[in-house]
Amino acid sequence: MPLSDLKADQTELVVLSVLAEGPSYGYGIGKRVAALSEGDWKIGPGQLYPLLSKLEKAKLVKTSWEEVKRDGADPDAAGRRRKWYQLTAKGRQRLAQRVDAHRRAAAVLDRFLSIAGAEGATP
Amino acid sequence: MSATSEKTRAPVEPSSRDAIGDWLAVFARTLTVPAGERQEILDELEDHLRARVDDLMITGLNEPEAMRKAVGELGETVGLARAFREAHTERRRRRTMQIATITVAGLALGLSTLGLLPSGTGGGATTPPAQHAAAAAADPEAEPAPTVVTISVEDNEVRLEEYLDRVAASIGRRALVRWAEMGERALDRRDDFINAASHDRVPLDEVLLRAFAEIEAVRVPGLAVDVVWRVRDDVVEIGAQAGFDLREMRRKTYDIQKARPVVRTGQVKLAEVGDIVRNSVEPNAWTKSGGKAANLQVVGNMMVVNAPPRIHREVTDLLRELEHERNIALVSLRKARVEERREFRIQEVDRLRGRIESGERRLQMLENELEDYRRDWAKTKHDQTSRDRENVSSLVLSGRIADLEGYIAVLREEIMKERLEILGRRAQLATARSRVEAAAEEEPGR
Repeated sequence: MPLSDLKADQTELVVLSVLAEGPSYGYGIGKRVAALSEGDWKIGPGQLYPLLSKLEKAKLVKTSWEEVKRDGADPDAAGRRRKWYQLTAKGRQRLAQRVDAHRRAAAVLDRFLSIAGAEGATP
Repeated sequence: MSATSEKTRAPVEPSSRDAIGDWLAVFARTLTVPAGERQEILDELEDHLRARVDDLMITGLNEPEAMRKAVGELGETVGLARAFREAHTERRRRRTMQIATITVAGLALGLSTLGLLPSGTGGGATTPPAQHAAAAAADPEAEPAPTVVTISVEDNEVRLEEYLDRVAASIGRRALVRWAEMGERALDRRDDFINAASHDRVPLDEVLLRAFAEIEAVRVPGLAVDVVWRVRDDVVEIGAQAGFDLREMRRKTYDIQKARPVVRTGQVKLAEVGDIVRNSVEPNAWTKSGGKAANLQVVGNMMVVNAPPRIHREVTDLLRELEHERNIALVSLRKARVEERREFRIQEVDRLRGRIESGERRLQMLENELEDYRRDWAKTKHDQTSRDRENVSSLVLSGRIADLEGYIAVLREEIMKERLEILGRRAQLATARSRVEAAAEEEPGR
């Protein structure tokens, strides 16, 4: 059975976790999510960029710009701009809280699953 | 990472006019966020698209295919623009809603740093009830002024119920708490509340929020407090948002004729305005998406909305935004049409002028030809006369003269026709010119 789509709430947790590894940019974050989930989860650009914008407004991430050029492009030509995201202290704190809340919820869920385990287990 | 800290740069056109540049130009028009932010969003999306195209080309697509695919992955522009606008306006909306939604986990950061609370200092600890009655009687959609309370601590541990009574009493009201609704939020009137500090002229919002948040922090870590209150004539009514939504539901009819979006090819259907409203204002509240707080129906030019006042406020705001966008679109469409008509008229003048010139050239040619024939005729006539005198047969010459006279008659007719034609075109040209001038007067500076 395919995994269900990420909910908005989970998307935030996933993006904050990716940024906890180090600074990244939008497209890079999307690729990292696909790679870590082995393709099971994809965050589409229509979801990712508005979310990043929200995180920036909430000061959970800070941003900076870098000029990038295509391989083999004229070194004097103006490149395009890449927006980098980096977790702030507030962002780390939020992530820690989210991870904690998630672990608790998962632990409670596990208790229920262990009751159901006798019937649900496949030999 | 080698990121520069350069943050400001003059807005630039997309680096080249290809499929990506075209898409960005279309998207820019639907994106209604402040200009500075817009350029940043466009730059970021351009980087995304170009990076994506590079990756797709590695997998074997050619550039046009890769661009099409990358742009397609972004989805339709209107939906994407809306998502950005929502990300942008979220804070503003939450402030105006008089709802205190706060994650208890966030308490560690301190309430005041969250920026959610109206921090009014107006009024006094005991604002006269008459003033409140007036406020309550006024339009419930108006922004309420913050109420300030003062309570002192006698004993540090009280029950929530008692505490709320005390808070209400401090502004001369009684507390009306919807405990049944609050039960859903896991709050109970028997909850003990540790009142850590006395409040002196603190906004009611903050006092209540602190009380509820503190209890939830103890009981259900991770849950969000979602408590709403209203100060009415003689009560402070406290309950859950969902309960207030049901109690305050009212029906309002909006004229959406002027809010319908305009596109270059025509107008969007009125029913689609309903979809825009549902997708833009609290998408989960509408019955169509399984919510309970609001529903709407488009009937003819009208949209009937059943919803609590805060949703009506946002619907009103959104329709005003849509009307504004529509006006801008209409003006630019009208300008484009005027411009097209002006172009057409100028071209018409040129066309007529060209046809008159070529007519005159033809006329000149015909007249030259006529002159040649006349000369030929005169000469032949002269030859015939001298031959007659010499009694030489001039029969052949008579035939030639008859032919020449025939040609001359035809040429004269042609010349007459050409002259009439030219006269007609001159009249058309005069009309066309006066039209161009009239259009120029309509639009000074042209």
